Amino acid sequence: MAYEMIVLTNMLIAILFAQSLNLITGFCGQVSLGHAAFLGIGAYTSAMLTKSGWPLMATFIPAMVIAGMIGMIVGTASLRVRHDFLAITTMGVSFLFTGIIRKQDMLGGEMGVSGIPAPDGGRVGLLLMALGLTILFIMIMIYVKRSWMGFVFESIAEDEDTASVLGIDVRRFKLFAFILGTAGAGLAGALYAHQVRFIGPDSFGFVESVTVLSMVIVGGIGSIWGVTIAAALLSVMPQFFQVIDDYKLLVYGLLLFFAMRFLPEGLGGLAKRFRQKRGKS
Amino acid sequence: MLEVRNIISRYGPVTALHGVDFTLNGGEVLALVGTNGAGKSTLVMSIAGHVIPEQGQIYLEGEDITQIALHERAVRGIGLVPEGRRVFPDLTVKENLITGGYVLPRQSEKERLDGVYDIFPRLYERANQLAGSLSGGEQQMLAFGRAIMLNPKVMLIDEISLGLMPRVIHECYDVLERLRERQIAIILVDQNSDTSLGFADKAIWLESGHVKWQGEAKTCPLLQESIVG
Repeated sequence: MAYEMIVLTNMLIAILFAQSLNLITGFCGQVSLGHAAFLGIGAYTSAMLTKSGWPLMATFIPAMVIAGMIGMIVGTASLRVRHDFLAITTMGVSFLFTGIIRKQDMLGGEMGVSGIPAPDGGRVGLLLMALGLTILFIMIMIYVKRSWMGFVFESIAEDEDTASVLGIDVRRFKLFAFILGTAGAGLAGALYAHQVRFIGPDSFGFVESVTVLSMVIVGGIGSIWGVTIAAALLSVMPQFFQVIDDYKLLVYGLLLFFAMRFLPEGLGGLAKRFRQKRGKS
Repeated sequence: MLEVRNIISRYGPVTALHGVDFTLNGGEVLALVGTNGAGKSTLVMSIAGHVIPEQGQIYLEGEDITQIALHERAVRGIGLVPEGRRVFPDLTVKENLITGGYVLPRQSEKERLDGVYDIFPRLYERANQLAGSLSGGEQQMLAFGRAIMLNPKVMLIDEISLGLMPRVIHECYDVLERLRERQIAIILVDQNSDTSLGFADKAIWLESGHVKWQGEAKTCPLLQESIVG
C-alpha cells in the first residue's frame, strides 16, 4: 500500500508540475526548457524551511512566492525573445540554477539537502495535500481557459502581433503567465522535496526540464486533460519499467521526436479530432 | 480626427516611406494606391504602431501617438483589419470577437457583440464555430467584426479584397459604407485600386515610398488611366 501511495503522490506532483508548464507554454506559447529550475527553487525553499521547524503547509506560500519572483525576473528578461531564442534563454536558467546550487554550502552544495522532515500526517497526509493542490490548480486552469483571459492567452499563443493590434498588452500577459506557471512549479517543488526527502542539484537539471516538456507536448500543448493524462502516464512508466528510468533522456528525446512528427497536437488534439469525427458521423 | 505629418519609416537601412502628410476626418475614407512595395502597408503599419516612424508625427484627435505602443493605440481607437485576416483559428467566432474588444468594459460587451452580429448575421449563425473552419469571406467578416468590437475611431484595412470572391468584396464595401455612416475614419488598401478609388473620398498614390500624387480620390490619375485605357 505504501508503494502505491508513493507512486500516486509522484504522479500527482508530476501532473501539477506539468500543468504549471502548460500554463506558460500551452496557454501563452512560451517554450521553456528550464522549468525544472523553478521546481528546484520551490523544493529548496520548502526543504530549508521545514528543516528549520516550519510545518510543510506553511512553506507552500514562500515556495510559490520565491519561485514566482525569480520567474518574474527571468520572464522580464525573456520578454524580448521569442520561440527558439526563448527556449535557449530558459535552458540557460536551468544550467545557471544547478551551477549556483552546487556552489552554495548552506544549500548542501554538491551533496544536496538530506534529512528533510516527513510531512505531518505522513504519506497519507502528503498524498492528500498533493491531491487537493493538483485538483485546485487544474480547476484554476480550467477557469482561466474558459474566461476572457483564456481567450487572450490563446490569441497571444497563436499570433501575438495581431493580439497587440487588438489592444492586448502582450508583454504583461506573458509575464503574468510566466509568474503563475513558475509559482505553480514552486508549489510542486515543495511537495516533491517532502516526497523524496533528499534533494540535490541533479534533481532539477536539464533532463527534468525535458521530461516535463515531453509531458506537455505528448499531452497536447494547451490541453488540460491531455497534459494530465500524459503526465500521469509518463511519471508512472519509469516506476514499472526500469529501462525507461535508466535511459530517461533517450526515451523522452525519442518521445518528443515521435510526438512532434506524428502527433504534433498531442493526446488533446487526438481527442479533439475524434470528437469532431463523431460529431460529423 | 487623424493627422499624419511628414512621416518617414525605415526597415533597417531601407527607407520605406519618404515623408507622407495627410489629415482624415470622421466618416472620410482614404484610399492608398500603388504597386507592390510602394509603401502602402508600411504606412498602415506605421499608423497602427507595428512600425515606429523615424521622423514625423501622428496625431489622433489632437494627441501625439507617434511613439505610443501598438496595444495602446488600439485602446485609443485605432482598429486594424490586417492583410490575410489573421483570425485566431483555434478560438470560436464569438471568442475571437470577445478578444477583439477585451480592452473595453465587460458591461458593454453584449451590446457590442449584438452590434457586430447586426452587421454580420452570418457571424451570429457561426458564433460557436472555430474561426479556422470559416471560409475566406467569413474570416474577412470576422476580422472586420473583431476590429469593430474595439469601437474604433479610425479603421485601417489592409488588402480588403485579397483572395475574396467578387460577391464577398461587394459585401465588404457595403460594410465600409455602414462604418463611414458611423463617422469612422477609414484608411483602405485594396489591390483593386479602381474599386477603392471609386469608394474613397481622398487618395494617396505611393511609389517606392514617395507620394506620387495626393488629392480627391475621384480625380486620381490612376483611376483616369484605367477609365481611358
